[in-house]
Amino acid sequence: MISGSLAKRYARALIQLAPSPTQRDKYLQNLGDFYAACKTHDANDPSGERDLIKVLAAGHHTLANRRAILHAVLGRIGADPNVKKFLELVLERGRISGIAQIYLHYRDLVDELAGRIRATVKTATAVDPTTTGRIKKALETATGKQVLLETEVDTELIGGLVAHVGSYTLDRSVRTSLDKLRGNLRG
Amino acid sequence: MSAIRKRTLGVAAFVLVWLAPLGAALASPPHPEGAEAGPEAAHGAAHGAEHAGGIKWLGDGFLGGPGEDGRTGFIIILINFVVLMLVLNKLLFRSLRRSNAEASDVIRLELERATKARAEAEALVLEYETKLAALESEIVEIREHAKLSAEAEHARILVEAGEQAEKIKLAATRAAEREAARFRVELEREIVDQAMSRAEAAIRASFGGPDQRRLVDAWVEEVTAARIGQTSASGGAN
Repeated sequence: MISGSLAKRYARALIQLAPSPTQRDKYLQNLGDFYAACKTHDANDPSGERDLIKVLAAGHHTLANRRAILHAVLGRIGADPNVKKFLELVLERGRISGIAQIYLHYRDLVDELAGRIRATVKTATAVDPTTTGRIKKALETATGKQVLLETEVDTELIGGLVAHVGSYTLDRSVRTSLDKLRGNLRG
Repeated sequence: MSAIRKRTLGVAAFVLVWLAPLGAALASPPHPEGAEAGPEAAHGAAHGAEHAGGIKWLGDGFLGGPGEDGRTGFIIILINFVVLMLVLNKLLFRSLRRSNAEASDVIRLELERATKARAEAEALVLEYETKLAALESEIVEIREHAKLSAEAEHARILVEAGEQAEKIKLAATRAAEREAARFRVELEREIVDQAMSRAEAAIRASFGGPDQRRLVDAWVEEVTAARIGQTSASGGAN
């Protein structure tokens, strides 16, 4: 884990290595794949000591070994050479444990440059594609940007939906209405 | 030994020492046979006349000691007496005088002490007599003072008890009010929770597709009218 400003500086550095939108998207894909690999957890290792991110961040392994592991993983996911060099630099600087923050900041920067915004919509039951399209269109109209929409099912909502767009939350769920009613009744 | 007895003993010793030898010397009997017989008797008479009724200053013996007539010279007796007195003075009289002086000092001190004790006792008696005389009035005064103090204390205790009772009553009232308010709030919450649980169960049971579509439609309409991240968010944005 590293600080947000530091992660943002690394994300900007990677952006500068990718002048074109295609490269940025490719780097984002590589970084996302690497991040997903780092999040992979072995069920037979409850302590998580053998997780990829733990091994790469562990100081008791030699840097050469960790670099070799990194190269192997990046080769497996077919990472761009610039991404390889970038992650190698992050590893050498001892910031590899902050790869999640770096990835998220990089993703935000790429989305911003591409005029995209990510949104998550939670509903009590799965929504059909038509409804999803309407929700996406409404969000694009409201934000003026292309919306990358993810949907989740949360039965606790009872009904309605909750959308998270950037730092905004658009809530019209029955759960929230009941909670508000409960709060009002309690005074 | 008392002083009188010591003095008596001293006088007796004086008489014995001074007068006994003198009496013995003076009481030496003359030789009566000199007046009754012939020349021997005359010689004896003359000799007896020499002795009869007088003091024999020097004896006929060695250094004036007793001679054949058995009489001792008065000078020798005096010398013996002086020597005796010196010896007695050395052995007896000095210690007697010293013990007499010490006894006298002791007696004087005892007298002084007794006098002082007597004066103190008299002063004490006088003091107690004065106190006894003032005791009655003091008793009355103390009784009055105690009575006044008891009345004041009684009044003060009554006032304090009243104040304390008032405080306890107020505190109990407040505590009861707090407890009642707490129970009221708890009861209200319990009622609200139960009502909300029933409402949620009822909504879950009756909520269907049309309701969901209606909510989504309302949300879409609201979000479409809003501006998120452009100018301002409104409507359902929380």
